[in-house]
Amino acid sequence: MKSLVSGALATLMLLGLLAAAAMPKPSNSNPQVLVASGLPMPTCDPPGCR
Amino acid sequence: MSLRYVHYVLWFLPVPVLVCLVATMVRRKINTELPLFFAFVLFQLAELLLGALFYRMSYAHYFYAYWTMAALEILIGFGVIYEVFTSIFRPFDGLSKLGAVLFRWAALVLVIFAVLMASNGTPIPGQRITSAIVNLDRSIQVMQCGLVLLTILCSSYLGLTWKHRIFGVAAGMGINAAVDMIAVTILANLGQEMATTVRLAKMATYSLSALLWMGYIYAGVEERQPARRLARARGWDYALAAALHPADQGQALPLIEDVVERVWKEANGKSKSGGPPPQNADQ
Repeated sequence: MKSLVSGALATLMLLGLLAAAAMPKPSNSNPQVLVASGLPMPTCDPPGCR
Repeated sequence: MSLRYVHYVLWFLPVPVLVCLVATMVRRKINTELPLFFAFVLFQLAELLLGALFYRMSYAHYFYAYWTMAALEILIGFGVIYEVFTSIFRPFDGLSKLGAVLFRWAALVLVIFAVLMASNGTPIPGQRITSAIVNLDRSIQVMQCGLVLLTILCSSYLGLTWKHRIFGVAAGMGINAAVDMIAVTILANLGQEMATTVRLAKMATYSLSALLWMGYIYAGVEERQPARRLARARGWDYALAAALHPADQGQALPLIEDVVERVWKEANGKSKSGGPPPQNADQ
């Protein structure tokens, strides 16, 4: 059980680090995104969309 | 059930869990043991409730409130990493001191890196500040994932089990960070059409993390079990302590001799050498 939990967690962390390495550079067509905590992220500058 | 309801359910699902977490931490006095994590949980709770308030007011209010709270959350989250890091090495004085020094320098490098990343390259109009916040957040998330990996890899050396409270706190933060980075990479590569699904998945992960913290604070153990290779960590700790305080080694011997002398005297009513007790023995 311990090795299963540790293995799953370690795999997720490695995937996260790989995702960070594979993250493309932000641009206008590919905006910055932050999905902080449980809040929905506002995706465009005000005034404007919702 | 429409996506809008799912969205609201996932938004407010962590609130009762976080309230229970705060109450449990206060009742068991864990808030004094992990003050930064306690502040982090309180902030998360306030963030969710204030976020809902600003969301109802206007998009502009919500936008600025969101990014301000995101910046504050990064700072507190960084503090929690430091707290977890020091808690992991707390029983080992030498390792703890070295770790604290390394951590501070790593933090400085990360901040410089995030500022350079934000100021360098093609700026997106109106997104310079949010770029800095996001870059700093990415750096912190990489640190969180690294911290969880470190905890897993070093657990047997440090006597930490996967039931330990600190392990749960680190795992919750690490899971959030890893899923966030995966979500961002998916959105960046596959386009914004998956944005709603990915965002809902991220919110669900956050709720799971809150439940994980609650579970570990409620049922997690505090004691470290004698580990198979704990002696090795102790060996590193002693070696580091000796390296950090080379001058103390010479001073420590007379002190140890003095203590032995005092114990011997108390046990036998006279000095170890058989002579009269030294004049300064009781000083």
